[in-house]
Amino acid sequence: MPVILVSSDNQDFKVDKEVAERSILIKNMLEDVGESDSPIPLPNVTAAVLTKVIEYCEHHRNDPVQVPEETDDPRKRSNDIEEWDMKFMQVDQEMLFEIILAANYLDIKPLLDVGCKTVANIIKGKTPEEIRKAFNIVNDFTPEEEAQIKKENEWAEDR
Amino acid sequence: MLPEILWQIGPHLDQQHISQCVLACKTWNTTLTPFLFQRVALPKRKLLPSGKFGTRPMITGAHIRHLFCSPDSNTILRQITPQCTAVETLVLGKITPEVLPILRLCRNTLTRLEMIPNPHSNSTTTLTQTYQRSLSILGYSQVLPRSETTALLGAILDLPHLDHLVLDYLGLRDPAHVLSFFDYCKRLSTLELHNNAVLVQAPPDMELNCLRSLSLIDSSMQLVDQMMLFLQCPSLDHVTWRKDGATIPIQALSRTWGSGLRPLKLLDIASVKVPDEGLAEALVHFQKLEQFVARDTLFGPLSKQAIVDAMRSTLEVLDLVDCPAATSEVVTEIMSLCWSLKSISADSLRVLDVLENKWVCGDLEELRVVFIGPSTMSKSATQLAIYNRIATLRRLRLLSLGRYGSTSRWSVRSILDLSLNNGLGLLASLTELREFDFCQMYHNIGIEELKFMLKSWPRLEAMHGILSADKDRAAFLESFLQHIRPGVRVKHNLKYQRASGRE
Repeated sequence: MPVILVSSDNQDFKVDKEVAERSILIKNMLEDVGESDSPIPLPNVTAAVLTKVIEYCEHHRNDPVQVPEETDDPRKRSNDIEEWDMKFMQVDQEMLFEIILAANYLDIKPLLDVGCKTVANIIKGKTPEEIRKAFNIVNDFTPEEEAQIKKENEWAEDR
Repeated sequence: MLPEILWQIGPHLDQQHISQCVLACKTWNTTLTPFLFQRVALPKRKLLPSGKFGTRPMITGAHIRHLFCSPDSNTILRQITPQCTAVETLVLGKITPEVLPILRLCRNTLTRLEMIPNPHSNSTTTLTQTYQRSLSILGYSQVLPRSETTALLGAILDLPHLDHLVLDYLGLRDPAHVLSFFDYCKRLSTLELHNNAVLVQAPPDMELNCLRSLSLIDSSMQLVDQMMLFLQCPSLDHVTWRKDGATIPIQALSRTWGSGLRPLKLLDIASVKVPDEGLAEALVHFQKLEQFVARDTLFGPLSKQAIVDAMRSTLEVLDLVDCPAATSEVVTEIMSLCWSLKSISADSLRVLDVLENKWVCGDLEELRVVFIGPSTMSKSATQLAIYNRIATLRRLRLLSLGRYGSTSRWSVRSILDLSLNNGLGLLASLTELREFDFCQMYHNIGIEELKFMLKSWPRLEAMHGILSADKDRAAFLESFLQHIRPGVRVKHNLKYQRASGRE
C-alpha cells in the first residue's frame, strides 16, 4: 500500500508503506492517522534529501528492525559500514549533513549511524588544522587559548 | 557544522579523536568537550593540580560517565565527587570510607562497579605474579575492618540498577552479610569475586538466576564451596575460575554441567594446575565452548585433541601463553584444523612447523605468537616466508610478534626483525590492523618502517614496544608517529600481565 510523503518544497513522493515505516516518526504518524490516505507533510526535509533518504530505505527495506542495545556505545559496535552504504554516502559535505539531520528528524537510526560514522571517519586521524580545512571552519581561538585547552584536557585521558 | 550534528557524531568518536576536535574552534570545543570527559581516568597523584587547570573537573564532573580511579587518587575523588552525579561505571582503586559519598550520589546511574585494591588490570605497570604473591604474604591484601564493611555493603546493596560487580577486600563472613549480599546478587548479570571478597560459603539453596558471568579469581573460599557457587547459577555462559597453583575440580564441575545447564561459552582457568588429562576430560563436557583461556596451565596434547575433535568449528578464542606443554606442534595442529578461530595466543611457533602446515583459520583477527627458528633457509628467505604466511590473514586486527604478556623467565628470540629489507612490506595486506605489538623483541624498526606502517595500516590505533634502545631516537620516532597519526597510542611496556578477559 503506497504512502505519500510531501517534502518542504511541496514535492510528492509515493513510497510503499513498508519502506516509509523504516522511519519511526512516519510509522507513528501512520498509526495515529489510521486508514486515511492523506499525504504526510515533512516540512524539515527538502526534495533532494528526501530522495536520498527514500533510496536508503528502499535498499534496506528488508533489514531486521534494530533492537536498542543495552550497551549503547556506538564505538563498541564493530559493524563497519557496508559497501553499498559507503557508495551511498559519497556525496558532498552539505548533503551529508542534511542526510544526518533528516535521519535524526525522521528517526531512522541505521541511516543516522551510517551518516555519523562517515563523518567520524573523516575526522579520525586528523590534526585540528586538517579538521578545519576539511570542514571549512574558521579558527577563533587565540594561540594562548588553544594552549590552555590542550593543557586542561591532558589530565582526562582514557587508559 | 551545526552543534546538533556534532552532538550526534560525538558518540562515534574515540577520546583521542575528540581531543583533536575540541581544538578546531569554539563551537566544536563547547559541543564536544562533554564527550571528552565521558571516560576519565584519575591521575595517579594525591591532589588535583591547582589553578585553572584544576577547575576543569569541577565544571565537567556532570559529564563523566565512566570513572577509573587508581589507588592513590581517593583524595581527588573526594574533591570531584560533588559534581559527579551521573557516573555509570566506577572503578575504584582503594576501598576506604571516602568512596561512600560517590556511591550514594550516583546510586541511580551506576550500572558497573569494580572495587579491587590492586591496580586496574588494564594499567600499564602491573605486578608480576611472584611479586603479587609476596605482597599477599605480607598481608597487603587484607580485608576491610568489620566496622567499615557494614557501611560499604549497605551502599552497594542500595544500588538499584547495578548489573556488573567486581569485588575484593570486603571480607564478607558474617552470615547476615553473606545472605543479604548473595540475595542482592540475584539481579546481577556479571559477578567477579577476587581473593578476599567473600570468605565463606554462599547460602546453599539460593539460585542466582540472572547471572550470566561468574568469575572467582584466587578466592579464599573453600574449593568445594566455589564449585557449589558455580552450580547455583543456572544461566551461566561465562565461567572464570582461577586459583593460582590449585587443582580445581574442573572435571567434577564439567560433569555436572553436561546434564542440565546452558552450554558454556567462555571458560577461563588461567594459572590452575589441573593436569592435561583432567583438562581434556573437562573439555569433553564443554563442547560448545567459544572461548578458552588456559594461560599458564598444563594444557597439552590431550587437551589439544579434545579441542580438535569437538570444537574445530566453534572455538573462536584460545589463549595458551605460558603453557609449557602447548608446544609449537600442538599450536600448529590447532591452527591447521580449527577454522573458526578468531584469536589465538601462544608462546612460540617454530618456522619449520609453520611452513610445513597450512593454516585453516583464515578469519583470524588476533595473533599473538613469537616465530622462532631453526630454519633450513637463509635468514631473509625465512623471514619472507613467515611474512607471506601472516599476510594471508587479511582480517587481522591485532598482531603481536613479541612476547605479549608472557611472564615466564625463559628467553626466546624471534627470527623476525621487522625491517623492510627483510620483508615487512609484505604485511601491507593487513589493512584492518588496529594494534601492533613488538614488546621484548629485538627489531630494526626505523623511520621508513614507520612510514610504511602508517601508509598501509590506516586503522592503526596502538603500538606496543620500545621504538629504539636509544632514548633520543625513540623520542624522535614517537613524535614522528604522533605528528602523522595523532592519537596513535604508543605503549612502552616491557613486562606486563595480560588484561583479564573482561569486557
